[in-house]
Amino acid sequence: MRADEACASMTIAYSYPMNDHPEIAADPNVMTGIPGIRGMPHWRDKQRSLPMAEKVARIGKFITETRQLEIIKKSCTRSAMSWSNYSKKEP
Amino acid sequence: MHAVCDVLEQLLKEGTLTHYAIGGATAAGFHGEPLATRDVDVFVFSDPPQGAVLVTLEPLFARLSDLGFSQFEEEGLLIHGFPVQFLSASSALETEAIKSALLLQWDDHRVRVMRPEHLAALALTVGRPKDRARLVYLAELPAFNRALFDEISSRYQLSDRWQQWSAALGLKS
Repeated sequence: MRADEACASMTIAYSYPMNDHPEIAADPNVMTGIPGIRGMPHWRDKQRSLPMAEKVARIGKFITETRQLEIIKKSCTRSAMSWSNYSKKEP
Repeated sequence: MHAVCDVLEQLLKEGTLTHYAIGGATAAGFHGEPLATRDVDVFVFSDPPQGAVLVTLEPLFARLSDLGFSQFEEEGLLIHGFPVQFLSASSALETEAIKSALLLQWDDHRVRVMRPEHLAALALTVGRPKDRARLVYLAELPAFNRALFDEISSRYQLSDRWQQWSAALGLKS
């Protein structure tokens, strides 16, 4: 799931818990993953019914992107730690 | 990712592995929409080397090295750029999940993937927050066979935990 898709689905789920909202009406009985709120966004429904070849390619893309995000996260953590150590040094 | 599936099938065909099945978030993604995950979990069976008693993944890694895959990234072996974590089946539930894996085929490719009901039962045994999220995802799949899941969770004494989790997660128990 792309970050913008994740944010969009969370926003939709939080903003429109009603099952009849067009954005979540693809299957109103499916849970969003947020307890007590049901309804599946259309993009999720579409991804579930992808042909297998496309789905496998998408799984691969997500793994690649997750790894890239982890590298960025580690780099940011290192940078923040480094800055924190630097700022603690006596002048 | 297609190439990773081909390598797994090759290992099976040539006898390096006796059984395998993809598990974890990658497997869940095959049954519903793809999920974000950092590696591919592959649960395997392999026969112990001749004269040995302990099962080891060494012959598997040796064969993969022959095929040109010897670089590790954390716990995963990089196969065509994807980290693949090989896990030797350690419980009866994992063994059953591998043996009853679904064979998925597309174009000229095929791969064996754990059934959603076994993935849900395995999530119940682990219990991390991401396993709870995965259980919600799996239990709500249209193809999720509740009768089969109930039967599996009953056989592995997971029914009580399922009752607790399903109540807490708002699932129909």
